Amino acid sequence: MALKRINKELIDLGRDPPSSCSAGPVGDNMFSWQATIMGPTDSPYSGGVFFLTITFPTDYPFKPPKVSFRTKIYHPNINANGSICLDILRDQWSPALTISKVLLSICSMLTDPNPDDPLVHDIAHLYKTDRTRYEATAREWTRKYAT
Amino acid sequence: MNNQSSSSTLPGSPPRPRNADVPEAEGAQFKSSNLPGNAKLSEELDTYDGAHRSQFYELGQKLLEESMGRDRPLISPPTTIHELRAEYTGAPSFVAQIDSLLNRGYTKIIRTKGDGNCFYRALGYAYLSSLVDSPNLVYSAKSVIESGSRMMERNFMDADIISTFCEPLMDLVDAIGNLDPNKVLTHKRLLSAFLEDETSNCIVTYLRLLTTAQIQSASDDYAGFLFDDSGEQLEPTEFCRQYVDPLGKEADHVQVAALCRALKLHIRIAYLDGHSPDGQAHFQDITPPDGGNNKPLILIYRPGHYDVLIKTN
Repeated sequence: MALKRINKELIDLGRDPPSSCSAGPVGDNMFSWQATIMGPTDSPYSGGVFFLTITFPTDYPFKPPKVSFRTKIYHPNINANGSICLDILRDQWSPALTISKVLLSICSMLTDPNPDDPLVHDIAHLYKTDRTRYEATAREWTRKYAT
Repeated sequence: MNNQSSSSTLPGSPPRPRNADVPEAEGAQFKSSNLPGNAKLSEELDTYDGAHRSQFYELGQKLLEESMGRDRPLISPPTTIHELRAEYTGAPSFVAQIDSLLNRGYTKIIRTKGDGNCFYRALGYAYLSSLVDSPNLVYSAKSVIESGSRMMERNFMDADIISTFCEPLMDLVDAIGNLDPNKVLTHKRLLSAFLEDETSNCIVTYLRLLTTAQIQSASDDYAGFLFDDSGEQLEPTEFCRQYVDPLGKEADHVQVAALCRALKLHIRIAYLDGHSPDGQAHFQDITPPDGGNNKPLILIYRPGHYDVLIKTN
């Protein structure tokens, strides 16, 4: 079932790609994908291209895919290893969700970080207390690592 | 007795508001006067043997946790209810309730894994099992399931994704009428199907998505009853995203009533909670707005867990 479902998602992504995201298998292994996200224009990540890895578990879609950033990014909900703190990638995962929806959720998380459930406390603190400095650093990292 | 006073002991009910009764307009028929644990009753109990009762209750909860453990199979073959009784030795209030079930002819249970999906799995099994017993209901069941899928599509769910979860359910329903004795669905084959991770979890997922579609399609009926763990009211879509769609999220009363409405099923739930002043296990009937044309599907509820209950007479 996992493979059939992953194939379906790949076909759907080709037919109706979400704006500013793309995803697909790296090689022959359908369970191992790469994705790119363009930094949303209304965010300090604008102009950056971010690479992510996606690993599907063998019991997908009953378990969530593992998604992480390969490109360094300065964000309260993404840590230095690229791990993402997003509820739908954990206990709020539903078998009806798709990679397309996951990528769109990550895009909206780039525009609207969730500092109340942070993965990197320092960035969350800065985001809450000095938005300008947070944005400047995020822009700087985007320029340095994502362009 | 009003709904307010019964809400703290309704199914799936740790005491938080989202377990409150669903609206009467929903058509659910709550025989709440039979339910233990309303305010007045609790007072009476506390005054006569509060300390002992709470000790027994704790013991019962401990036994419950042990007996529904996460390492159980997804579903188990029917076992005599004496097996359950033996696990509650030392918790007399539970034993009395189990004896009251035995006396009324409820002699067997089909146990489900305590993985947060037990309500959906138990209901799915009881539903298909009832169709195996009454093949004349297969035709109407199929049309109910098909209209359920259309209701999901109207709620913007992907038709292909719905059908991958629906297929294993429909295959089983279709197998009920199979003329080939090697393929016709029997209780034994149904049990094997529910033991397969993929089939079993597809059915659980389908029933969850159907519940979501029902809540969202009749959101006015449910809106006042959707709360998060801290008691904050949630929008129907957010409630379903958090508490219905993900596997492993337990069903509370709202989900139970919504699924029973979507499948047009009459469900009867026996409560085994160790809190009954007369020692009896009490029943609650949940019926869809049009009454439901099935013989009730019978489940047994212990706080936090559902299994299938079987009456043998």
